[in-house]
Parts: sequence; C-alpha cells; structure tokens
Amino acid sequence: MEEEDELPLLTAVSSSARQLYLLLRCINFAEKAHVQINDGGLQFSVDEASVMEGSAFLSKDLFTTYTFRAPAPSQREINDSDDEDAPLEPDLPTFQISLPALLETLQIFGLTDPSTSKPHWARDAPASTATGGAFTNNVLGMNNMCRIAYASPGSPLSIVLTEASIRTTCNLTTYEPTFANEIPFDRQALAFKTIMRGTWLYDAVAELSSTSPEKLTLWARTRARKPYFALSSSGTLGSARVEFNNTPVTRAPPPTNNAGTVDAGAPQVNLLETFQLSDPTTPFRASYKFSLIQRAARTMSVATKVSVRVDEQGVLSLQFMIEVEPGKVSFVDFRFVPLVEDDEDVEETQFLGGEEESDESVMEDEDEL
Amino acid sequence: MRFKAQIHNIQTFTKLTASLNSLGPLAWLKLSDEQVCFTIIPEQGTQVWAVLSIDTIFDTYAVQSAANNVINLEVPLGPLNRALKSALNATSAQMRLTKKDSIPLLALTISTTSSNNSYSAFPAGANRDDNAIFDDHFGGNRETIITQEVPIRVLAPDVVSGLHEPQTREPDVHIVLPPLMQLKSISDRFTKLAMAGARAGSGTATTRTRLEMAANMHGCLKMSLKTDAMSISSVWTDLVNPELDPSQVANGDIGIVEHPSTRMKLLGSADGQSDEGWASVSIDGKDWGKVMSVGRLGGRVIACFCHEHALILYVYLPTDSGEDESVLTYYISSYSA
Amino acid sequence: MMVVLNFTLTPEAAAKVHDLLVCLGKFSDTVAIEARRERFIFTALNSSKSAYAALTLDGKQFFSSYECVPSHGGPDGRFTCSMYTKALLSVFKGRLYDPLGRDGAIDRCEVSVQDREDETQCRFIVKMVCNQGVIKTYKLTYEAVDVMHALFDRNVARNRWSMNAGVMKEYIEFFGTKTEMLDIFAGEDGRAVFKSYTEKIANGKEILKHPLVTAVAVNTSDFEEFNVQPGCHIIISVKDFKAIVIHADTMKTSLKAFYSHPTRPLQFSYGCDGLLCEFTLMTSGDYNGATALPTPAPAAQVSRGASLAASAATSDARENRSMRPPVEPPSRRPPRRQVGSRQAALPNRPPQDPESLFVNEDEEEDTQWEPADYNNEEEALGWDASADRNAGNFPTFQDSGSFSRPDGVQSNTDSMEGIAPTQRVSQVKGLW
Repeated sequence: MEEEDELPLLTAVSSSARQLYLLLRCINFAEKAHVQINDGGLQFSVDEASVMEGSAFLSKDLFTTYTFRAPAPSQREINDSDDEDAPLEPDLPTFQISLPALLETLQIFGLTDPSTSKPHWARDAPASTATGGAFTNNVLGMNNMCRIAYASPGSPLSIVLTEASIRTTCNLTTYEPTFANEIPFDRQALAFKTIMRGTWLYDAVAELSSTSPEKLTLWARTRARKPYFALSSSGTLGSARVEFNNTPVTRAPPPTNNAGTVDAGAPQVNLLETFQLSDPTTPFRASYKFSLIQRAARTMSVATKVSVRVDEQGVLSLQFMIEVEPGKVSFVDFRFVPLVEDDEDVEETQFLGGEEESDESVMEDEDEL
Repeated sequence: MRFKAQIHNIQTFTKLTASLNSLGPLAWLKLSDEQVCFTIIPEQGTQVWAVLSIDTIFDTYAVQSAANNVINLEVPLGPLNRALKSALNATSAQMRLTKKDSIPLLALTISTTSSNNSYSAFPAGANRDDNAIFDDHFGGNRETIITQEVPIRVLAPDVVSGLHEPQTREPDVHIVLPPLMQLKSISDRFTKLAMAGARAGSGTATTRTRLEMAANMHGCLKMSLKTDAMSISSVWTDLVNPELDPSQVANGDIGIVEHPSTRMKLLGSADGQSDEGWASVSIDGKDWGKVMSVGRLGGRVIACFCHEHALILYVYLPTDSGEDESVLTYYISSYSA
Repeated sequence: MMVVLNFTLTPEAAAKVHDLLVCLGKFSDTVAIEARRERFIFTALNSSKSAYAALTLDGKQFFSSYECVPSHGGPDGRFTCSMYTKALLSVFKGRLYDPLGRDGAIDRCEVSVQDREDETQCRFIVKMVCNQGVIKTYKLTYEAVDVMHALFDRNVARNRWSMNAGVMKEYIEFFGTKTEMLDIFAGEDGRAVFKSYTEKIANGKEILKHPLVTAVAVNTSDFEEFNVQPGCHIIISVKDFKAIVIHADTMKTSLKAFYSHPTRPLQFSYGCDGLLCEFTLMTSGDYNGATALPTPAPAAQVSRGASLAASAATSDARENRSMRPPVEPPSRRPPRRQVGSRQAALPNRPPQDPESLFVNEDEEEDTQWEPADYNNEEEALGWDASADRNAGNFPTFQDSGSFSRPDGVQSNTDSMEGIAPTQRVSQVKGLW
C-alpha cells in the first residue's frame, strides 16, 4: 500500500491499545467522530445537535513512535507569504471515521487491566487446553501492540493490532469532514469555576439520575466565605440535591449519638480545590439537559479531576484529567449549551413541583447551616 | 422400558447440556447399550450430533426396552441443565426414567451433605443462647435429598428413524482451532461490528451478522468482515493441520494423495499473507457464537472447511484414557457467496 | 397541627432499610408507612392480596434517634402514608454502609416529614450526610393513606418450625426457575419436604415446557425447632418464600413459621436488632386438591378522601391496637361505591394475573388497592393536609376465626402480636 517515494502522513505505534480505548470510549456517543492529525497527536471530536460536544486528544506521548509528515503547504501560500519566517498553517489532515468501529477494533483482543496478566478468556480457559502445541499460546497480555497509519488524503485509517500469533488488520473508511460550528466558550469571561474529583461529580450525577429528571441545575455560592456547590434535579417521584461543602458539616447536629464523628473522624479535605465566582455576591445558577450531561458520566467515573467552568453565556465546559498510567495524564473535554429559562422562578417552581424548591428558599436553607 | 444410571461426571454432563441448550431447547436423547447420543436439529442454524461413550457421564448404567434396549427420548435441555446444576456438589446423583400421573419423567435423585461450616456467617447480633442451641443441633453433617423431575417425551422408533446425520464431501482444509474462549471473544466482536455496520449501512436482515471464516493447510485461520465503515480481518498463524489417518480415509494412502486437502497444501503460505490456498465459508456470527459455547467442555476442536459449502467441527471430549471416544459434531452450512 | 416525624439512621441501619425495601419491592410497587411514637412500620400487600408484610422498626433500638409526634390521637396516634417502593429504593441504595468509607458510603441518614397545612404536596425528606462534606437531599412525594393490618393469631397456629435462614437459602437455590407453588410437607419419617412445582398440567409437546418439579427433603433434626403435625401439607407461593428467605438471610437470623392448616394463613417471622419482620401469607388446600381457594379479605387501602369520610362518620373511633374486630355497624362505614367511583381516574392498574392461584377480586375492590396516580392533578387537589386526621377507625381485616373467639382470648395480647390473615370475600360482603 505504501509506495517507496510516498511515506504515509502518519505512523503511530502504541504499546497499549487499552489506553487509546479508554480515552476514546469517553466520547462514544455518536456514530462518527472527526479526526484531526497534527504534530502533537490525534484529536477526536464528536458533537450532538450542536448542543453538546466532546473531544479526546491522543497526545503523541501515548505512542512509542509518532511520525507525522505534515503535508507541505501549497505553493500558492508560500508565494503569497510576505514574511518567510511566518509560520504557515499546514493543511492538517481532517476526516471522519466510525467511532464504534474503531472502539470495537481496539478491544478486539479484550481489555484486561494490565495489572491482571491474563484476559478473562485465558483465565477461564479449561486446564485441559493447556496441553498440546496449538493451545499453549492462549495467554495473551492485553497491553497489545497497536499501529495506526494514515497514508494520504482519502486513504483508510489503518489499525493493526498484534497479539502473540494473531494479527488483526482494520481499515476504517475515512469520510469527508462536516464542519459543525464549535460551541463557543469564552475562557476569559467565566461566571464560575471549580475543580473537584471526577468521581464526586460522577456520584452526584448518578444519584440525581434516580429521579429520572430532564434537567440538571448547578448552583454555586460563597456562603460565609466558604464555597458551596450543588447539583439538583427533579422528576415525578420527587426531587434530589447533592451539595458539596468545603468544610465538614458544622450544623448543630440533630440528637444523634454519632454526630461527633464528623468533626473528629473526617479529614479536612477540600472537596472543591478551586472555587471562583465572577460575582461572589450573587448566587450562581444554570441548567442543562440531564441526558446530555449523563453522556459524560463514564468520563467522570474514570477521571482523576474535573474542571467545571461556566462562561458568562452559560456554556458549561467540563475538562477531565485522566491518568492513563501513573504519572501520565490525558484530557477529555465536553461542552454543553445551557437551557434557556425565560421566567426562571415560575419555571423552576413548576419544575420542582413545590414552592420550597425555589431559588430563594434553597439558598435560605443553606444560610441556616 | 427401563433406564437407570448413576451420574459419574456431573461437571461434564452439566456443561454438555448447557452447550447444547445454546443451540436449541430440545434434544433427542438416544440411550443404548453402547452409547449415549444427543442430537439437536434446530429449525435453522447449526445441527449437533453428539456421541458419548457411556462412561463419559454415567456409571452403573442400565437400559432396557422392547426395541433392542434402545430408548429414544425428547428432552428439554434447560430444565435438564438446571436439574444437573443442583447436583454439582452432590455426594451422589442418580438418574432414572419414571412416570408420574402418566407423565414420563427423568428423575434425578441427588444427595448432598453439608457440614455446619457451609454457612459460617452466624447471626452476628443474635444472642449467645441461640448460637449454643444452634451448635447443638448442627454439630454433625446435614444430609439433604433433592429430587428434580424433568418432563420428557418418549419417542417411538419410527419417529426417529427418519433422522440422519448430514452427509458432506471431503473437506478442503482441516485445522485445529485455537482455544475457543479466545476465538469466541474475538468473533463476538466481529459480530458486534457486523451489527453496527448493518445499522449504519444498507445490509439486509439476512446479511446482518455474516462473517467470513477461512483456513489454509499452513496453520492459518482467518476471520473477516466488510461493512461500509470498515474492513477488518484477524489472522491466526501457527495452528496445526492434523495429519490424516490412512485408516480413516477411503482408499487409504491413495485416498490421502487424492484428498482435497493434499492439493490445498500446495497453495498459500504459513504467514497468512497469501490470497491463495484458503477454503472459506460464510457463516452467521450469532449462530457461531452459540456454537462456541461448547468451549466450556474444554475439548480439542478440529474444524473441517468445505470451501463455500460447509464447516464441520469435531469436538473431542477430554477423557481419562486419552482416547477420543466421545465426539460432538457440529454441522454449520455456508451461506452462498 | 402537623405531624412531627424526625429520625436518624446509622449507615448500618440505612443499609437494612435498603435490604427490607428490596424485599418489599418483590411484593408490591408501593409501601405503606405507619409511624407511631415508639415504632415505625413498613407494610406492603401484594396485588393478589395473598401476601401481607409488616416490618417493624423499633424507635429506640433501630434508630440512632427517633421522634414521632402524630398530629392526632394522643399516645396511640399515628402518621400514615404510602410511597412508591422504587422511589424509596432510589434513595436507600445499596452500599450505603461501607466499613472502608468509600464513595457512596454515608456518615448518617436524617429523615423528616414535611406535612404542613399550607403545602399542596407532602414531602418525605431524606438527607444522606456523607463523609467530607457531601450532602444528598431527597424530597419524595407521598400520599396519605390509611394503613391496615392483617391479624394473625399465633395461638391457633399450632404448627411451628424454625430454621437458620442461611441454611434455608441453600435449599431454595435448588428450586427451578418459574415454578409457582411451594408445598411444605411434614413427613412421618422424620423428614420435611419443600417441593416447588407448577400446578398447570400441560399435554402433548407442551409437557416439555413444564417447569422442573423440585423436592428438597430435610431431616427435621436439622431444624432448630420442628413441631408440625405429621402428614400436614401447606402450600404457599414459592416466589414469596424465596423473597422472605433471602431477606431473612441478610439479617443472619432464623426464620420461624407459624400455621394451622391449609386455607388458613401462615406467618413467617424473623428479626433482630430492633427490626421485626412478619409476613402473613395465604395458604391453599390439599396438594393437588380441589379445595376451593380462599381469598384474603380486601383490606382496603382507602385514599385519604375515603378515610376522612370514615373519620367523620365515626367520631367515636377507637384506636385499634387491640386488634378487636370492628364493631361499628356496617351502615356507618363509608360507602364503598364512593371510593370505587374514583377508579376511572386511576390509570396504570396492573393487570390481574390470570394464573394467580387466588381468586380475583371483583374489580371495584381491586382498584382500591392500587396506588394513587401521583401525577393526577385532580387526585392531588383532593388532598387536604390540614384536615383533621382522626386516629380513629382503622379498618382491620380479620381472621374469620377470630370472630368466634371468646373475649378472653382476644385480650391476650401475646397471641395478638402478629398481624395477619385474611378472609373470604363472601364473608366480608356478608358483614357489610
């Protein structure tokens, strides 16, 4: 396939298909993903109806070899250039592929945690198969070798996985990119920002999902100079709220004999590592479609940390830091367009199905603490 | 009509019924003085003809009938498997043919002995006196007798006389399959890819989960699939093509020289890169997944490829003697190309 | 005046609430709650009304703190309501208790009821206080209902046995799936036989679809107590039995059975650490027998509207803890039809199980047992949290045998600790 005088645009070799899989699985909510190849790695992005987008970056650090031969900028561009030293925008290869197909391929040999040496089917293999020549190589380490190649524009994206005496070759059809507008997010004008453990957020979203809600509402406020962040939702069976307080609960405990353990036992951990509000005097609130937020749940569950940011327009950015192996991190990003709330109080009251759930009274509730 | 036997290898019997049950709910069970045969002939999909030596699963075996001591039964595999599972920790398990309210049954009588320790979690909060009483009661072993009644139908000889094992031509390629758990794991992914491809593309219902399987006489097995979004293939190398036994081939040594597999040896290569020398079949991935369920028995499996015609699997049950006395034969026909 | 109900649970106790809800969920989509000053009771009745569960949580022993001041009824007053089992389970999830304190584990659970006069909806508020400053608060809607109890007279139930639930769990694992009935038989050979089977008799090829018949023969010496008349067969639902055994096993305790004879109710009882579980099950007649199957009485779970009517009609209502049969003349009961007329506004009624062992209720009575539609506006507006909820005439359904009981027996509270049975519809109708 590769002609001698035409080296492939990209050759990348990873010693762990599993790492690539774990990152790409985070954004597995659309049939097709956009792929952009550049010097630093491969950017995979998906979007849904322009109200949510997710992207995962496979940095070249994840590969043992990563060779990207950027196509030479076109002659015209060079001629038109006034300054020869000015960096030229190379035509970065961009195309779409089937994301589910890529994910199935990456896990074709199974996905066992590297700490357990054998894949499930090797562990379960009956002892009797361990005798006889052909049956001895059923023990396959799952950190299988994976080679990704992209020869030239229009070529398939080729994935080759080898494991012991099995070789899997997959050629993914590359489709023309469809350039959807990126959801704009203004990092310079943040209304709210906090950083917390991914699993805290995961736990909260999982908890709220039990009410089968349509909407997720974020609340943030500085109360008595202490950060307060909460997520709430409501459905037919009732409403639920998960709140994060940076200090252990100090409310006068109800008559319970174990109330003292909170102060005595709980370590002084800050749930919210960073906490910024553009206007600390006003409670912050924004709502999003719950089912879309839930798409990021798997990422929350594997992320070490998540940076939750909302800009002045209400666009929510969730940036997840994922540790693919000790000391080596990758990032997965999501953006969500907020739900428009015309008459907030009325809608909120209706939605939550009770007056006591209105903005004011929720905050009142907190002031009591 | 009389049948009574002690179950000798409950593990094997349980796994066997589980494997067969994945292909069809009912089996024709033929009990005779020499063999125990299970046959599954589903309306569509793979047929299984299993011939077991009696001592593979039974002990002190007695079968009597007016028809040359042959008994033909139709047996529901799900309930039989469920019944056998309850005997996995048995001290003894007996199976016999009986009748109750004029309904014929296979009755399993299972004895289990549990020591007091089998439920070590004593009531943590219960008061001590209770425990003391408890210990007195259960100082020894508890013997429990479990009876499982599997409803069956007795088949008359003329009902089964029309059932014959399929006839196939000499295979082009025969090869020992890699461990089935491995093969199943990979082929299940192929099937998922085929289904995803069918959803996205224009595949019709019948082509939805169709996979290509091929093998050559140089130790290679290949599985492949092509959809709109991708083409994928996995190639195994270094597998074994067993030598044919002249005593098992028509015309002996001459038969081997003229055997299709002998000609196939001249084609293809051991690295699986050549396009030549492959005998291939087109099979349904979902059905193949059910066939792979036999892997739990842990036997050696030889696959015989009749190019574009059929794939026949011989599953040899492991035996103490090392002889291949018990064989399950799976007949998988190829879709036409 | 509004009810005061506040309590706090340790993680261990909250996990036990999870376990008991899982069990009750196998009987009914809704659970009823009855809170009294000293105890808190979950009850559930299955749709065929053949099984009734009452799980009593002791105020002092089960809770780390418990305060209940019913709005009416003085020392014997009570607060009652009904909720979806699923809604409670979504709050009382598994793994609330984790000795290692991992995510999901809680530090304590605080529950309160908001039943204000000015609220259009009532809320059951559960606050899970987790480690490190995470607090999860749920506000669940509930519906006020009257809660009724089945009566069970242990004096009459002379057949008794008791066995470690863990051992019993080993036995139920042998039962085939999809079987319906369990015959508990006391042999004359020192063995007891638990037989799971399905009553349907199929013909021809259908026979092969017949579920397994499984008989587990156990030495009576393996029971902690076995005092059953030899030759006695008693038949219950195998599904109910499994649910009960599995729950009893989570408590690592012994399961006790009390019964008299077929067609009379049977009671299973177990408990420890301030949690007492009692299940009253209808039994059927002789094994394979043609005995007419009795139907438990429709212990109508009347809506609040109906209960208010009841309260109004019986201003001299008595607290019914004594489990005496009701003495009000039938004419003073709320007319049934008034309640039944609501049925058009109650969708989602589960279909009658055509294979139910038990005789179907007539439709009107069955409807009354259905949970109200929480989304139905009209129904919700009908609630009146401020209304005088008299702790009065709590209807009770009775073991028909108790009607002929002399007063002396009735006053024997020991024999009345249970809750239970059920009676023939025809008899109930006769009473009214």
